[in-house]
Amino acid sequence: MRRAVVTRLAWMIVVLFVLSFVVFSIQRTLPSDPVRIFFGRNASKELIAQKQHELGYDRSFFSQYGLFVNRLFHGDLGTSLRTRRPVVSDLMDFLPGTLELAGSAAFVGLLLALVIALTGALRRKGGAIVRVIAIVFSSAPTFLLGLGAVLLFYRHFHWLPAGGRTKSATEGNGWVLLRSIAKGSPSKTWEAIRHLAMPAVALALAPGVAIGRILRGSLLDVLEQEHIRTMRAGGLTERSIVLRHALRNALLPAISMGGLQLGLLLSGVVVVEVVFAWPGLGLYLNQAIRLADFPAVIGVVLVLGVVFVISSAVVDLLQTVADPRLRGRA
Amino acid sequence: MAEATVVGVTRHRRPSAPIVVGATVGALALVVALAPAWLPYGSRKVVGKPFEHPLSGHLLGTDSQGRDVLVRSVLGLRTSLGSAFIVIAIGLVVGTIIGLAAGFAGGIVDTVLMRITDVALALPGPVVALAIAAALGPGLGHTLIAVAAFWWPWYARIVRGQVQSIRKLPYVEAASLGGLGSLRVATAHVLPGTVGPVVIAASLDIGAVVLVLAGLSFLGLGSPAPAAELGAMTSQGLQFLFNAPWISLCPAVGLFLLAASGNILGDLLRDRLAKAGSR
Repeated sequence: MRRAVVTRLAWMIVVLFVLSFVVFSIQRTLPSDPVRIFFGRNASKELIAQKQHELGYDRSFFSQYGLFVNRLFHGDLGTSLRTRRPVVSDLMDFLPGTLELAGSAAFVGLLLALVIALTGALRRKGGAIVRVIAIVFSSAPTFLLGLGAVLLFYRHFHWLPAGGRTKSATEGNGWVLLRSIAKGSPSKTWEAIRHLAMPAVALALAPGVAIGRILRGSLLDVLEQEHIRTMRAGGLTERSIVLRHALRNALLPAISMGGLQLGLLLSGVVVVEVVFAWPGLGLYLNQAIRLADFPAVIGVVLVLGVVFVISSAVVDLLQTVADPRLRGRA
Repeated sequence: MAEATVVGVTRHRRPSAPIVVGATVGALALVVALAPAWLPYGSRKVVGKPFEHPLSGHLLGTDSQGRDVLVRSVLGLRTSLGSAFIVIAIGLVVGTIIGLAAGFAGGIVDTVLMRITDVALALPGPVVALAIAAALGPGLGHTLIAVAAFWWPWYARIVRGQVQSIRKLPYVEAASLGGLGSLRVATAHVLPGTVGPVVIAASLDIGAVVLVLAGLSFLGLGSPAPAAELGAMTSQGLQFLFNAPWISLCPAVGLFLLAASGNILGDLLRDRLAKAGSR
C-alpha cells in the first residue's frame, strides 16, 4: 500500500512539473510582449529593456524556466493587466468560490450516481431509461443546462436566484458556504445553498449520470456472481447484500469513470460560472480572455491544472483503497 | 447472413440499428454541410428588425442585430461539425504516427513515446487547450490546433496495442524476411490492420469534441465576432436571456442535437461491438 502511494505521489510531482513546463512554454511563445503591454505604448525603450532584464526575459529559455518555477514557489504569477493587482491575490479571492461550486457539484454528482445505480440494481429494470438519460445529459452543453435552469427556476417559478453567490454583490468572495456553516447561521447557510443549487446541479448532471450508468452496470455484474448467490441462500436481505457487499466490489469501474469526469468537471465549472455570474476562477478567466489579460489566463490555467492533477491522484489512490489487488502493483 | 444462405432461403434481415441511425445522421450531416447552397441568406445578412419573435416571419426569430437565428444556427452547426472532424482527423494522424512508431520500434523509443502519452493524458486537456487557444489569439484555426494537441493520446495507445499484436503475425515476419525496410513493413503491412479499431474509437468521440469546442467558443476562444458559431452565439445572447431567450437557446439546442446524434451513434456502435466481442 505504501509503495503504491509513494509511486503515485512521485508521478503526480512529475506531472506537475510537466504542467508548469507546458504552461511556461505557452507563456513564452505568446505573440505579444507582456512588458510592452504592461507599460503601454508610450514607454521608453530603456524602461522596457530594464524591466525585461529585471524579469529575466533576456536570458535563455531554460534559465527563464528556472526563474518561472522559482517565482511559482514564491507565489509570484505576475500582475494582472486588467485589475493591476498581483494575479495570486486575484486567484486567492476567486479560488474558494470555484472550489465550493466544484466540490458541491462532485457531491451532487456522486449522490445522483448512487441513486441511479441503486434503483437500477434493486429493481433490475430501467436499463433503457438510464441509457437514454445518459445520452441526453452527456450531449447537452453545460451552458444549455444552465440556461434551461435559469429560465425555469428563476424566470418562471421564481424559486431560486439567477446567479451570484449571495444576495449582496460585495460579499461574493471567499468561503461563503463554509464560513456561514462555521458561524452557525442557518439563514446565511440557506442563502448560500440556494445560490449554489442551480449551478452545482447543472454542473453535476453529466458526470453524475455517466458515473451512475457505469456503477449500475458493474453492480448488476457483481450481483450475478456466485458469492452473492451464496449470501442470498444464506438469507441475507437484498438490501444488505447490495449495500454492504456488492457495492464495494462494484466501485472500481465507477471510480475510474469518476477520474475521467474530473477534467470535464473542471472545464465545465468555468462555463457554469459564466452562465450564473458566479464570482470564481471561471468568471475571472472569461473576463481575462476577452481582454487578452495573459498573466491572469495563465494563472487560472495553472491553478485549475494543479487542482486536476492532485484530484486525479486522489482518485487513483481511492482505487487502491477499493481494490487490494492494485496495491502490490507499482 | 451466413445462416440464412446455408438453408437456401433468403430471409429479409432488418437493417441493424447502427446502420439506420448512421444513415439518418449521415444524411442530416450532408444537408448541414451543404447549407450555404440551400439557405436563403448568409450568416451576416440583416433580414428584419432586431428581436423578432420566433414564428413571426422568421422561423426562429432574429437576434439583437436583426439576423436570422435559424440561418445562423444551421451555419454554426456546419462549423461545429467540420471543426470536430478536423480535430479528430489531426488527432488520428498524430496518434497513429506516435502509436505506430512506439509499437513498431519497441525498446527505448516505445518507452519514451508512451511516457509522453501518459503525461499528455495526465494533464487536464480542455484547460490546457484553453491556455493554448488564448495564447495563439482569437481564431477558429487556433482553437482547433489547441484541442487537437490534446486529442491524440488515446488514439496513440490504441494503435500501439494493435501494432504490438499485429507485428508478431507470420505475414509481417514474412515481409521483413523478404527484405522490406522497416518503414515499408510498418506502413504497408502493419498500419492497415490498425485502422479499424482506432477509427471506430474516433467516431465515438465526435459528440465530446463538439462539446469541448463549443465550450471554448462560449468563452470567447473561437472565431471573432460576426462569425456564426454556436457557443459564441449562446454567450452573446446571454444578456438578452429574459427578453429574447431564443437567441441563446436555439444555438445551444442545436449543439445538443449535434452532440446527441454523435453520442447515440457511438452508443449503438459500442453496443454492437460489445456483442460481437462476447460472441
